[in-house]
Amino acid sequence: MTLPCSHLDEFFDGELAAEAAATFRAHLATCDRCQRQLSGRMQEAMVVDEAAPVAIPIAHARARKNNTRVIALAGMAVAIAAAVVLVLWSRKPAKPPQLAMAYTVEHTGATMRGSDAHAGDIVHIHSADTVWVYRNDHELVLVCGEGTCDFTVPSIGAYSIVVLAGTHLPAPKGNLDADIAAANVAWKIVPLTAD
Amino acid sequence: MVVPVGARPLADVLATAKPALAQIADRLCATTADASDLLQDTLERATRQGIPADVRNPRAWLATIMHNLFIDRCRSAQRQPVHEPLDEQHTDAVTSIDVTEEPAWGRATLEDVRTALDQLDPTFARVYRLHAFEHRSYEQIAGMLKIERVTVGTRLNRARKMLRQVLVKRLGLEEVP
Repeated sequence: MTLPCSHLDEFFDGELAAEAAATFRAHLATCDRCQRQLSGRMQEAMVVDEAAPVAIPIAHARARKNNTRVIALAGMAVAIAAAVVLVLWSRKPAKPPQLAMAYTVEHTGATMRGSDAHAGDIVHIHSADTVWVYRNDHELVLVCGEGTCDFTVPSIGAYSIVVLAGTHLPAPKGNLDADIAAANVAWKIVPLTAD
Repeated sequence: MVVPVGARPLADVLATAKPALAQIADRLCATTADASDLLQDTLERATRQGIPADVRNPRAWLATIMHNLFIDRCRSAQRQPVHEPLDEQHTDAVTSIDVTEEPAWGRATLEDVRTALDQLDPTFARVYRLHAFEHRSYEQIAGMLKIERVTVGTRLNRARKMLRQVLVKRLGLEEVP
């Protein structure tokens, strides 16, 4: 029979069914060992959450990509630049973008494919400012401080990589327009399509 | 950028830590209402106590407050009849579960954690990052990486152990065998 203590990780990760979770809570009430380990898990989660996403040196990020396209904003096609300007103009024309950001897409599939990114690919973002990434403008995918951070494209969709001036901004809630308004700093958006 | 968290005011710490605390409360509690109560009680107790002078990482301190409140709730609920065979609770567990004590997470800085994560085996680090940073479920990670769900749990467990080992070494602590 499976030991209750062995379910600690599943419980803390929210992976137990309701009945099993209830049983584990009852077990927790009397098991000093699981209480100590749960305390460790909770502290770990809080400390690691603050460190996320993990910054990796740009040189390292580039070196490990045999199947990676490096895309610099300065070299992006005129059509994309025009689209960015159009988006910026429609959303907040009073604050022109003065922010630097570049990203790379690490393809995880066996072959290169045509468009920007695909579900499962890893996107590495390099910026000196805050970066928020949204899927379809209402699903927060990534919150990143200065430096380099990455995220795995969870599914197909229209992604918006939002770069905002500064590194100490209000925590985004998940709605692109509302979050930008709350931040009240200079910003710009780079679209990324995943199919 | 590493911020000396000890110098940050409590209100700032609570504001930045609240989303992560809310996620933990959701995972611990059976209902949204319970989770909301636990979060609120945690914030209130932290506000009443203030950050103790010897706390190096206030986020770990907040986790401890929430943990204690949660265990109190579990004990209160346990006073009601609960379905749990007593022979499962303590007998065999002692010899079969990893006995490594948790490191002092309250002593870990952002730099410690980042350095430790970079030292993990990439196979395990990727699963850990998907779960800890992107909050993916076991099922989602299994689908993304084309592995079994149980393998996700195994890799997460291994990643956590590795992370603890690296941190223990980095912080100069001794692991309990």
